[in-house]
Amino acid sequence: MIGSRSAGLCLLPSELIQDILLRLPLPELLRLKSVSKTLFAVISADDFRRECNSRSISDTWLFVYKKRSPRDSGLHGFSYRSARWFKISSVAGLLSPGEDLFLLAASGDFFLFASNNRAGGDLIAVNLTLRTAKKLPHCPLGPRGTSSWRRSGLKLISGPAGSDRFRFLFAELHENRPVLLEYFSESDSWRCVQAREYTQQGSPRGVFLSVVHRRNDSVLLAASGEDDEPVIVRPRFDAAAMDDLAIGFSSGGRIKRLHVFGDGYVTVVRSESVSGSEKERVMTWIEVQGLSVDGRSWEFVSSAPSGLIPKKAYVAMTGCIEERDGVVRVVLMMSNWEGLWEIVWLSFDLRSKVWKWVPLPECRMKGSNMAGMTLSSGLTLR
Amino acid sequence: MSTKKITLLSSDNELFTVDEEAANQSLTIKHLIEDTEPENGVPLPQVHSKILAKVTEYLIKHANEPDNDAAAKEELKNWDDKFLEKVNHETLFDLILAANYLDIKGLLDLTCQTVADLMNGMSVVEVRKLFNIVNDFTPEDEAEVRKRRKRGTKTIGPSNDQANQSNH
Repeated sequence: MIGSRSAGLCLLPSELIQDILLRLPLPELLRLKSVSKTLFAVISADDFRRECNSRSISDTWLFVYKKRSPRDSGLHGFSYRSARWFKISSVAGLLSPGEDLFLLAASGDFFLFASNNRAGGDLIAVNLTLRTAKKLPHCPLGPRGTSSWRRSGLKLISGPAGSDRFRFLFAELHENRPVLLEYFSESDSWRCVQAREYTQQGSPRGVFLSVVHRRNDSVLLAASGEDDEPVIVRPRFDAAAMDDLAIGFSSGGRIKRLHVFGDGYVTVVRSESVSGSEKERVMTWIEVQGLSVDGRSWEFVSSAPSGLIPKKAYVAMTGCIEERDGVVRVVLMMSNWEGLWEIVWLSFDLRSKVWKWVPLPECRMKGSNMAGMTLSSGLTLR
Repeated sequence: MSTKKITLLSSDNELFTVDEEAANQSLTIKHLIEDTEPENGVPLPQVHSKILAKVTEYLIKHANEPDNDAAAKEELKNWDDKFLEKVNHETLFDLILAANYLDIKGLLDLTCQTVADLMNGMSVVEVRKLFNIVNDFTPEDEAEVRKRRKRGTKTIGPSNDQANQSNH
C-alpha cells in the first residue's frame, strides 16, 4: 500500500526507475551503475540501453574542459536535451592526477587530451563508456606541446558504431608541404602521407582539415579514406578582407573580423568597438561560408538573423564550427574582463536554411581557465 | 455552472472531495467512476490518506491548466516547485507510486523529473546516502569491476578481442 511503508528508489518497480533514469544525461548513468546491484541491473538491461541510445544518439554535445590548476580540473558537458551543464566526473579518475591536460576533440565515447609534460607532450584517448585511458604512441613528427594544436586542423572519428575504435587525423605543414597524420586505434599506429594537389574535376570529398589560413586564401587538406591520398584544396575568399583579421582566436580592441574554421566551413564574425572602451567589442555580424563545389573558393552560405547575435561586450573570443548531417553548428566563447566566459551556440540547417539559437545556461567559468572545447555526438550506453 | 463533486476514499478511510474535472486527471479514478458509478466515494485502498492529501492538492491546482497563458503557466510551474520543495524523499517516492497507480501523467512527470534532478551531478556515495540505498556489491563484485576496467585499458588498441568479436 502506498504511503504506509517506507518507499525508496530501489523499491520502485523497474519501469519507474527507468522512467527516472531516462531523464538523466548519459554520462550520469554510467556512474550510477556503481550505486547498487538494482541500479546496475536496470541500467545494463538491453531494453533500457536501446531506449536510452535511441534518445541520445542524435544529441550534439558541447564539452568544455575547465582548469583551475592541474589538480583541479574537470570536463563539463552540455546537450540540448540535458538542458544543463553537468560535470563528467568519471573522466577525472581515468587521468593521472596533476597532469596538465588540454581537451583536443571528442567523438562517440572517446575524448582526446593532449598533455604537457617533460617528454614534450602525449596524446591520451579516454573512453568514457569503457572507462579506459590510453596513451597514444608519439606521432611520426615527434611529440608536441599542447599549444601547437589547432582545432580546425584535427579531427577525431570514432566508429564503426560499437567497435571501440577510432581514428585521429591532423594536418600539418611539414617542410613546407601539407601532410596528413592519421592514427588508427585498431593497429595502434600512425601513418604520415604527403598530400597531392587537387586536380580532378568535381568536388573534393572527405574530412576537411585546415593547414593554413591567410587573409585571401586558405590551404585545406581533404582526407577521404584509409587507402586514399589526401588532396590539397586552396579556396580563396571572394573579396580580400581589409579589416584587421584574427583566425581562431581574437583578443584586443582592433580586431574587426574573426574567422573560425572547421569541416570545410568558416564562420565570419564581425564586431565593432564599444564606445568609450579601447578593448571591448560587440558582435555585429555572424555569417557562415562554405567551400565551393570545385573547392576553389569560399562561398557565402548564410548570415545569422540580427536577433540571434548577442549584444554583450567582450574582450576575447574563440570558437569552433562543425558540420554534421546537414547542420552547421557554431559555438563562440566570449570572455569579458573578469575572465567570465559566455558561450553562444548557433546552428544553421543547410536544407531548411533556418538558424537556431541553443540556449545555454551559465557554465560557471569564473576563476577557471578554459582548457579546450569541442562539439561531439554519438555518445552511447553499452 | 455547478460542477459535480467526487469523493475519494483512502486506505485508512479518510474522505477527500474534489471537482470531477480535477479527479478526471487521474485516468484510474476516471475509469472507476465510469465503470462503477460509486455512491459512497471512489475507494482507493492502495493509497494512504497522507499521500492522497498531496495528490488531491495537485489535482485541484492542475484542474484547469492554462493553454496559452505564459504568465499562468509560469505561476503553475512555480507552484509545482514549491509543492515538492518540502516533501521528504520517502513521500516523493510514494507520490511516484501513487501517480503511477492513479495514472496521473503530469504528476508522474513532475515527481520523476524531481528525483532525476536530485541525482544529476551527485557522486555515487551521495546518491546512496540521499536515497538510503545500501551498497550491495560484494568486495568480490567490486574487484571484478576493477579487473574488467583494467583489462579494458588494453582493449583500445590491437589486442581488442571484444571489438573484433562484435564485428563478425
